[in-house]
Amino acid sequence: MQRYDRRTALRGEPSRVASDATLAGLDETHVSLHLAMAPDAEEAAVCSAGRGDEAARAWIVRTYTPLVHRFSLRMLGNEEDARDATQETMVKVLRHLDRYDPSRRFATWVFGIARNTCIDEHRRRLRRRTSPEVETVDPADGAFERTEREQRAARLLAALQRLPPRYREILLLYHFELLKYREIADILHLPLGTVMNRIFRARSRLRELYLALEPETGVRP
Amino acid sequence: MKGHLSDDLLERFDTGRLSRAEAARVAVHLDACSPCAGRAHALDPLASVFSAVEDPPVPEGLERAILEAAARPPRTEMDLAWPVAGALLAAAAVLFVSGGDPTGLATAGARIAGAALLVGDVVTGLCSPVFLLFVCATTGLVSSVAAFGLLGLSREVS
Ligand SMILES: [Zn+2]
Repeated sequence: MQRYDRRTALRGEPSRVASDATLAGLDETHVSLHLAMAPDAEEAAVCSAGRGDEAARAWIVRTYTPLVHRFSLRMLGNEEDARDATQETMVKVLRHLDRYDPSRRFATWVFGIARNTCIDEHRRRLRRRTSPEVETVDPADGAFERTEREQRAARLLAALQRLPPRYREILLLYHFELLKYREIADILHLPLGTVMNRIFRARSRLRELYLALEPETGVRP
Repeated sequence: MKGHLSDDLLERFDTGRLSRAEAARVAVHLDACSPCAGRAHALDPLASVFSAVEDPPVPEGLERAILEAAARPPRTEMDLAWPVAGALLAAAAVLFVSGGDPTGLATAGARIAGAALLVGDVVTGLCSPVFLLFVCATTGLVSSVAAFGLLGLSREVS
């Protein structure tokens, strides 16, 4: 039920715009912030920001920086690169608001820019460093102090980092950012069939990697 | 597709056992129907693990840095216009200093490039030496070409 609520809210349907009250106490750790505003209101805010309204610009930054940052961090696996990619993405968003097509959801447009920026950042990183310096979370780190839930989360993030980037990005968009298939197809410039296929393959691969990281006596998800 | 998707259909979709056409129809329904989309997400054996992952904290000062960076004027064509104007000026200077004498061109060009390097070094202390070298080389090249062009033109006129 809670996943359903979150998904609905994330998809920006005004009937289920989540209030703090409905979310409080739920087992929801990554509720997106942009659900705090209905699509019409968001469109109006984006429009005002495009005309230079400082408050609207600040609202976009406050709302989307956490989403872009978590996507970039999980995509690049490195805090320094994630910070750079997030800043670059958000500056592009603010500077090119006139290029935003309101027939698409604003989040889709932002994630499209974030994705391209991460690809560029990844290339730059490969040029700068001989080997990619990924801060892979060792799932065994501090295992004694962590709860079972935290350990499983750490294993999942470690497994994600071991996926090829094309699998990682699609799972991040699908599972963490909860975008629609259409929106993912739009961001990745892929046909819908390819998107479904790739998500399916990426999930199978992720499951294998995740299970491989599980301790022998570990509890299966 | 009337009503909601059956568990069986979702299960077959989730495990990749539908034809492309069927899968596309399911995807279209999922994009439009939140309850079914929620059920599809929950089918993944890792669903509970995905929801266990916490959001990373946004780095301190990042949001302010973004607003400040976005408020700064972006690099425009004007940034390119200055070096071009500089090169043209240099070309005119080469022509003037050499008094239209082709043998004096090289010496004058070298002097001006040297002066440009010195001024550039002082003015743009932040620029890397490689960049400065590039600017000087480009300026020298452009000014020489332009000088020869202007020289030819002035001879034709007279
Ligand atoms: Zn349905």
